[in-house]
Amino acid sequence: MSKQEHGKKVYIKVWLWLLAITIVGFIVSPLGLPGWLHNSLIILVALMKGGLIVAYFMHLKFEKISLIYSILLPLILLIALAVALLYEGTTRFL
Amino acid sequence: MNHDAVLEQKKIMESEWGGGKAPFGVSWRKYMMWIFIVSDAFTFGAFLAAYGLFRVTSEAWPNTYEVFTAFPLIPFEAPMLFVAMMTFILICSSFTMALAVSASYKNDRANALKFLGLTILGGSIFLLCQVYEWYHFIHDGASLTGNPWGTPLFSASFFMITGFHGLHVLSGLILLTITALKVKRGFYERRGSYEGVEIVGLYWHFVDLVWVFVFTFFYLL
Amino acid sequence: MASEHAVGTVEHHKETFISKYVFSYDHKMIGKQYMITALVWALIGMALSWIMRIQLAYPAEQMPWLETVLGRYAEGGILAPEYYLAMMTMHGTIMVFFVLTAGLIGTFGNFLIPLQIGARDMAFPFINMLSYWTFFLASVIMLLSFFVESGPAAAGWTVYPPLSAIAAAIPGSGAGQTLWLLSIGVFIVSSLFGSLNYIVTVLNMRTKGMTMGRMPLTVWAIFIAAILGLLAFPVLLSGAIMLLLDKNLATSFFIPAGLYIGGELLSYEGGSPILWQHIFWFFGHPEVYIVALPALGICSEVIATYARKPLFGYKAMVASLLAIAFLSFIVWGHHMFVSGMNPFLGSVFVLTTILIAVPSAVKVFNWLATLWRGKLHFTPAMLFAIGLVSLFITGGLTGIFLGNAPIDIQLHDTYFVVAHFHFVMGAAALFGIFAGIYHWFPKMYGRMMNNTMGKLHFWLTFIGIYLIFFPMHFMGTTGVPRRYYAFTEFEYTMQYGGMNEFITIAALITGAAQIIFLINFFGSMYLGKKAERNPWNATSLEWTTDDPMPGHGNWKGEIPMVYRGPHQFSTPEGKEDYVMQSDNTGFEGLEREN
Repeated sequence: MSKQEHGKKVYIKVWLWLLAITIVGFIVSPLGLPGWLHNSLIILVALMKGGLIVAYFMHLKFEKISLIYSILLPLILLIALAVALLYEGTTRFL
Repeated sequence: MNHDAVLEQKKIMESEWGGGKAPFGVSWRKYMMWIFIVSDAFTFGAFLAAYGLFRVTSEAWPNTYEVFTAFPLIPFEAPMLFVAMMTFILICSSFTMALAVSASYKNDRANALKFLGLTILGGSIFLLCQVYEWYHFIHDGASLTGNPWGTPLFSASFFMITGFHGLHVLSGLILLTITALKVKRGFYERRGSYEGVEIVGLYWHFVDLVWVFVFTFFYLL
Repeated sequence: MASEHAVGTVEHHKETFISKYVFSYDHKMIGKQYMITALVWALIGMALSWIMRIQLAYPAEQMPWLETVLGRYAEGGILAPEYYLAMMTMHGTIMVFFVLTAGLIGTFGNFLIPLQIGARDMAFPFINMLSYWTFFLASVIMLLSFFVESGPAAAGWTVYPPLSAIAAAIPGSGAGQTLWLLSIGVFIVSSLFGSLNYIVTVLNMRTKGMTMGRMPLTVWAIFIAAILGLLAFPVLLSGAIMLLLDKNLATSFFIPAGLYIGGELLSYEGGSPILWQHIFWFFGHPEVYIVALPALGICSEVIATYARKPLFGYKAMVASLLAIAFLSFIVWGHHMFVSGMNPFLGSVFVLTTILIAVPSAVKVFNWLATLWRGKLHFTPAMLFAIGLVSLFITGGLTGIFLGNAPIDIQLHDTYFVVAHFHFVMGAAALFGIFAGIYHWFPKMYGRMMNNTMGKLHFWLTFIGIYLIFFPMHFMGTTGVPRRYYAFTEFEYTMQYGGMNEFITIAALITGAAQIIFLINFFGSMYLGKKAERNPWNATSLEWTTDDPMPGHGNWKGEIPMVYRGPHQFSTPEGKEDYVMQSDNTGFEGLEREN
C-alpha cells in the first residue's frame, strides 16, 4: 500500500507553484500577444497546473509506472476525439 | 514434471502479477477510484471537445473578458478577477485536502479533521461563488437559448459545462462531509487504514483538475 | 496483502428470499438476473422485428389481429408508418443495449469472472448489485416509453438530431425520446458500475498462480470489453445530456439554424447535427466491440474445450483482442462517410477501419487452427461457437466492403448494411450468448440441458439466420434503402416483394424456433439431469467448485491455486485428455511453502 511519505513542505511548494502559474495565466491575456502565442501559453499553463495536481496532490508520480500508464494512456483517445472534432469544425462547411 | 516448470511457478507466485496480490501496489478501492476518474474525464472531455467544435464553427463567439467582469462589492469592471479568485479558492481547497490526507496517514485525527473542514469550507465558498456567477450571468440576460453577446451556444455551453462541474463539486462536498464524520467517529482508526480519506481526496483533486481546464478553455482562451 | 484478498469472503448468515434472489450480492445470482432480464428483452425485441417483417412482407394489407395486438399503433389493422419507425428504433435499442450488452457482459462478466479467476465474489459486491438494479430501472423507463401518448422513440437507435430533438418532427420525438434518453443515461450508470467492478476484480482478485497470461480467454475478453465500456459510455452520456437539453430546454447544441417545420422557422441557432454523429459513434463503435468481444472470448474457450485441443495461439488471441479494442476507438468516422466529411479525414478512417481486418483475421485463423484435427464434440455449445465463426466471417467480409469510403457511399443506408451488422454484431453475439448458456448452464443451475433440443435449436437458428439476412445483401447492392416503411413506391424496390415475403417467413420460423430453447432452458432448470462437478471435462477453475452449483463464496474450502495456463487439452502429461488449471501434479510441496 502506498504511503504519503512526503509531508507539508512539498505540498506548500506545489501550492505556491500553482498560485504562481495561475497568476501567470491570468496576466498573459491583457498583454496583447499574438493569438497563437497567447493560446499556447495559456494551454501550457493549464497543462503545468494539471500536471502538478495529478503528480503531487493525487500522488500519481509516486505510484508504480504500470499504474501511471494505465491511467494516462487512455487519455490519448480523448485527444483523438478533440482533434477530429476541431479538424471537422474548421474544414467542413456547416 | 520438469524442474523448469517448478521454478517458473515459484517465480510466478512471487511476482506482483502472479495472483493473490495487488499488481499496481494499490488496493482495488483506490484503483477503482482512479479508473472512475478516467471515465469521468471522458465525460468532461467530450463536453470540452464539443465546446471546441462550437468555438471554431461559430462566427461570433463573445469575448469572455467583456462578459465576466462583475465582482461583488466592487463598483468598477474587473474582467475575469472573480473567476480567477474562484480558481484560487479551489486550488487552496485541493491543497488542504492533500494536507488532510497526509495528516490522516500520520494518524493525526485532529489535523485531518481540521484540514477536511477547511476543504469543505473552500468547496462551499466555491459553490457559492458559482451561484453568484450564474446569478449575475442570468441577470445580464443569458439563458440556455440566448444571450446578449453573441451565439446562443455561448451561454448554453457555459451553463452545461459549469453546471456539470458544479454537480461534481456538490457531490464532492457530500462525500467529504461523510468522510469527515467517519474520521470524527474513528471509523478509519478502527479499520486500521485511512485509505478512504485518500480516495475521496483523489476525487476532490480531480474536481479541481477539471476546473483548471474549464477555466482555461472556457474563460481564458 | 493476504487481507486484501480475503475481502468478500462469505459471511455465513441466514439468507432471506429478498437477500438471496432479489437484492443479492452474490455475483452468480446477479449474473442470472442479468440473463433472465435480457432474455425477456430479447423476446420483446424479437416480437418487434416480427411486426416490422410482417409490414414489409404484406404492406397495406389489413390484418385485424394486428390492431388487437398493437391497439392504436395499428388502427384498421395496418401498422402506421410512424409506429413502424418506432418499432424499428426500439428493436435496435433493445437488442443493442438491453440484450447484447447487458445479456453478454452483464451475464457472463458477473457469473464467470470470480469463478474463473478464483475469487469468492466481485471486488465490490454492493455496487455490483446496484449495477443490476440500475439496469432494471433503465429497463422500466424504456418499457414505459411504449405507453406514452406519442409512442416510443422513432428516430432510429442512433437517435440522430434534428429528427430526434424536435418534438414536432415525428411523434416519437416527444415524450418517448425523452424517456429513451433518460433510460440510456441510467443504463450508462449501470454499465459504469459493472465495468469498474470487472476491471478491478480481474486485476486484484486473482487467486495465487493465476497470472494474467493464465486467465481463460473469456475473462480476457470481458476484461477488455469492460475497459471499452468504461471509456466509451461516458462520451455517450455527454451527448445524451446535450440532446436532452436540446429536446426539452430548447438549446441548440445539435440543431442548426434555419430549420422549418410546417412552414414555420424554428428558433434554433448555431448547432451541429454532425457533432452528435461524432459523439454517438465515438461511443457507438467501441460499443460494437463491447458486444462482440465477450462473444468472441466465449467462442474461443468453447472451441478449445470441445475440440479437446489447447487454444491455438493464446497470446495472439489476447493481442488481437487488445488490438481490436484500441482500433475500435479510432474508426468511428466510418459511420459518417456520407455526411460530407473532409475526404482526408475520411481516408484516415478508412485506413484504421481496414486495419481491424488484421486482428479479426488472426482470431478466425486461430479458431480454425484450433479446430483442425481436433477431437470434435458437437455439443450445442460447440455448434453455436462454430456457427459464430461462420457468421463472423460472413459479416466480417462485408465489413471490408463497408469500411471503404468509395464503396460505402454506394451501400450506405441500404439493406447491405442491415445484413452486415446483423451477421457480425447481432447474430454472432447472440450465438456467443447461446454458446455460453449451453456451456455454463450446468454450473448455473446444477443440471444439464437437453442435447437433442439444443442441436435442433442450433440448426434451425443457424440456417434461419442465413435465410433471413443473406438475401438482404442482394437487395442492398441494388440500392434498397433501410428503415423504409414499405417498398411499394419504386419499381426497383417492388421487384423484391417476393424476397421480402420469403425473409419474413424465415424470420417467423427462426423466431418460433427459439421456443425450443426456452422450453429447454426453463425445463432443464427443474427437470434436467443432475450435473456433475465438471461435466465437460473442462480445465478452468469454475469446474473445481465443491458443489456442481456453487453457493455464495464459490469454494467451501480454500480457493484452489493455479499451476498452469487455461485450455490444456490432450497434452502429454496427465492421465486424462485434460489438465485442470488447479492440478498440482508435479508441483507437490509448493503449496506449503507459500
